Amino acid sequence: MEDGSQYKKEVLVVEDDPDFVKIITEKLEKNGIKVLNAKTADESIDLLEKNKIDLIWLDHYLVGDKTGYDFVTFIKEDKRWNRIPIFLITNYDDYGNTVVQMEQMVQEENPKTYSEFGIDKYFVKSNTSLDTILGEVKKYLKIA
Amino acid sequence: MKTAQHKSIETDILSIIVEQTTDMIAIHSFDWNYLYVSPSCKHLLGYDPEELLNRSAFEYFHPDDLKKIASYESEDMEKQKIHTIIYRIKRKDNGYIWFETTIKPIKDSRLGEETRLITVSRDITARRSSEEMVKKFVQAVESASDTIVMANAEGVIMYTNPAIFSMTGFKPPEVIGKHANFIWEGTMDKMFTNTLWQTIKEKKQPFNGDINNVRKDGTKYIADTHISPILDEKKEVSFYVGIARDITKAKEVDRMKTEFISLASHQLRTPLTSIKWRLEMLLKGDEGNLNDKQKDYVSNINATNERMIDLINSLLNISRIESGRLIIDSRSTKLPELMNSVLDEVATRIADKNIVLLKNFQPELPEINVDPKLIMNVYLNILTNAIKYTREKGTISVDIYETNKEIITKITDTGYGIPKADQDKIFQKFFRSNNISQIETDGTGLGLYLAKAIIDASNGKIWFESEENKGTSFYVALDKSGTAPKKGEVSITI
Repeated sequence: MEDGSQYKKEVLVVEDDPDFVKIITEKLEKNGIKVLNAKTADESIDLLEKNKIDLIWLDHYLVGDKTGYDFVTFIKEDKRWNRIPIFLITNYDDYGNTVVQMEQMVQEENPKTYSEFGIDKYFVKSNTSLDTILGEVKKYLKIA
Repeated sequence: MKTAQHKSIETDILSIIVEQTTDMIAIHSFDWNYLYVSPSCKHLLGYDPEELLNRSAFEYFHPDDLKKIASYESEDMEKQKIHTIIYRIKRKDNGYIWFETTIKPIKDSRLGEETRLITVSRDITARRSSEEMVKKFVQAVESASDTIVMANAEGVIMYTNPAIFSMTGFKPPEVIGKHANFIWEGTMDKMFTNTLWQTIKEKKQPFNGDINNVRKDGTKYIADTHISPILDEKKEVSFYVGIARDITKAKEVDRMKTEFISLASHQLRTPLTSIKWRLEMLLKGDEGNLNDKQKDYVSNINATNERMIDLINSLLNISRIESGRLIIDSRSTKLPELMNSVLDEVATRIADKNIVLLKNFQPELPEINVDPKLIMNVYLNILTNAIKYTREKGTISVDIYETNKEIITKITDTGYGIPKADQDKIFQKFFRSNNISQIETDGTGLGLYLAKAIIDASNGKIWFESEENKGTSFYVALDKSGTAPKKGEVSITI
């Protein structure tokens, strides 16, 4: 673990595309935000346990046996981490205002809205500028 | 004891009956020669009775029906057993009609020593063609691939065709006598069943819907179902006819198509996002400033990239609308407010081209129930076109006003216009007129297709008037009664 003292906050970026990880890391670290990257749910939990994470940047699918849906459910049930803001940043369809069981892309019987489910912000990557996302991240992290 | 007078009156009455009856009454010898024929043979067959006397009835039977005339066994003769036969008989004009004839062999000394046959014949041609027709209907229903069910006024199944087996796994005998809910309720909720019966029983109207159900073997299926109440003269329900088609496969294919498009879009969006974000960082000067020329090139690449992203968004929206799964989130909307937010969004583009914007919104317009996200999309599409296809310093006017039943939005520009030859193709997918595709390369040809699809789904109308090199006016009319909310599955991307 590096000395992250020049960074004001730490963000867990759960993303398995190395290209995106590179861009996101560059952007965030330029703005004083340390990026910790996990590719799977297990890796994510490991990082959560070993670091003080201020925000979770989550891509839709996770490699491994858990999905983004399962992961969020898991986080929200854990007292240690259920207050950490979660941003869902994905290129999958916006299914209206409700959460879809992403791995099956089907609606639940009584679908929850994203906020009911525990997701603070939802962005479709290709339709959002990186600066916009950064702005929201800073807002939630309460930094300039 | 009958007096001579009584007997005479009786004979008269009997004569009248025989002469006037519409059925043909005849007495034949045992080998079918006519010994007596009642006068009705004239109107039935065209013959005078005298023309038939002593002729064999066989002469008049249709050759194919001759075998139907059973030869009597002596036993039948002894017992005077009555037979009924149906056959074709030749008229004087050589046409054939259908007869139903009751034959009674008798032995009566008044008619001679031998056995005679008394026949009463009725023209059943009309009845027969009805019967043929009914037979055809029955055949049609029996062989239909759709499941057809008939239930009585209490909802008990009286009949179902064989197709029910492939749809439900149950054979007709397993289903007849059960209440129609066995098929029509399926695994749907109480509200659905209530609505169904309310429609067909109380409102006495046909019901259409998709019913989820379970087969005999436990597998699930979806049936596209139409149920009609059949009313009698008193307008009461006589019975119900239900027709259902298994659409499980079709729904599955549809779902796979949508999933494929979603997946494909995701795969396409990934590299485009990568490009988008890196170009963004370049243009922002994150790694040093670009010189003017470099900035120019990079902006160009960025714009092109955005076009590709827009194309994918449009394709996704279209696939959602076409799949019928679009959510319509109707809520009370002030159209002028909606229009203003769209105008804000395009304000820069309008200013860049020095276009004059004229607004004319009727004051105190009633609010209208529509999905604001969808209508915004329509306004944005039309306005974007107006801006794109109008030269510098042109004019765009936006009017919103009400008529008796509708609220109309009119967007007029002083742009290139739409050539007459292209006007009937404007709402087609991917269509772009030649006169603008040369000048303005940026355009997918999907905007108006999408706009029309949204308006069609919103119980509205969209049309235009245009003259080449003069300009175009687009009209969007929304019914004041609004759009019913639709519980779909997907929303559009703006």
